[in-house]
Amino acid sequence: MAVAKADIAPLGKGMYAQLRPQLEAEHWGKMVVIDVTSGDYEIADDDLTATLRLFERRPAALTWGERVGCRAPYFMGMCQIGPGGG
Amino acid sequence: MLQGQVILAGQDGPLEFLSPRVTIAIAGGARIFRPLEAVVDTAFTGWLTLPPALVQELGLTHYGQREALLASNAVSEFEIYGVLVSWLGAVRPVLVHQSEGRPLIGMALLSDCRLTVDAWAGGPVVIAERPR
Repeated sequence: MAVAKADIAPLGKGMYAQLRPQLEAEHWGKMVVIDVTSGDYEIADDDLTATLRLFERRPAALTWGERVGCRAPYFMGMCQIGPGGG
Repeated sequence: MLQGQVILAGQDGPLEFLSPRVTIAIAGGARIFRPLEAVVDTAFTGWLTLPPALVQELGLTHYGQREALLASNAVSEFEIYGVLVSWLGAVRPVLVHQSEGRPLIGMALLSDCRLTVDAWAGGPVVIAERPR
């Protein structure tokens, strides 16, 4: 499935929402990287490992990533407001 | 070991600040390495940021998008690419957050390293492998 850049985030968020109950129960704190063109995904401790593993299997992947249980998978400037804020 | 320097930045504007800089080598798929001066940013949890013009020039592979929580408590989306970094004697693939401004080296790239910064203008910035 061809996916425009503008559609990566909405598609990724939708796919993650479906996986979320299972991921939060079993993989809290892990990185999940989803290929939005196929729905295939990888789970690892870090984004790089999950992304490279997914690209071995899906060389044409376009990915969205989430850190299970966190507002965002990265911090830039270390916001420290509320739980999980850094 | 990698050695850089703390620069007194912003000297042409109203605000001067100390900026720890190191020069590393990066390459795209063609594996032609070029030097890159980057700011060491311990508050960035990723590997590296690069501006769009450099991402395009290097022809980096587009991997997708990720969100990051900014210091303002806002969440922003970034385009993510793959790049090769020559780092402490090894070439390793890392993820790049495309972002305007000066390139940043984040904590993921610094993982398992010793970082020392002498925070005065001209002070050394040293990145070394973790002592075993």
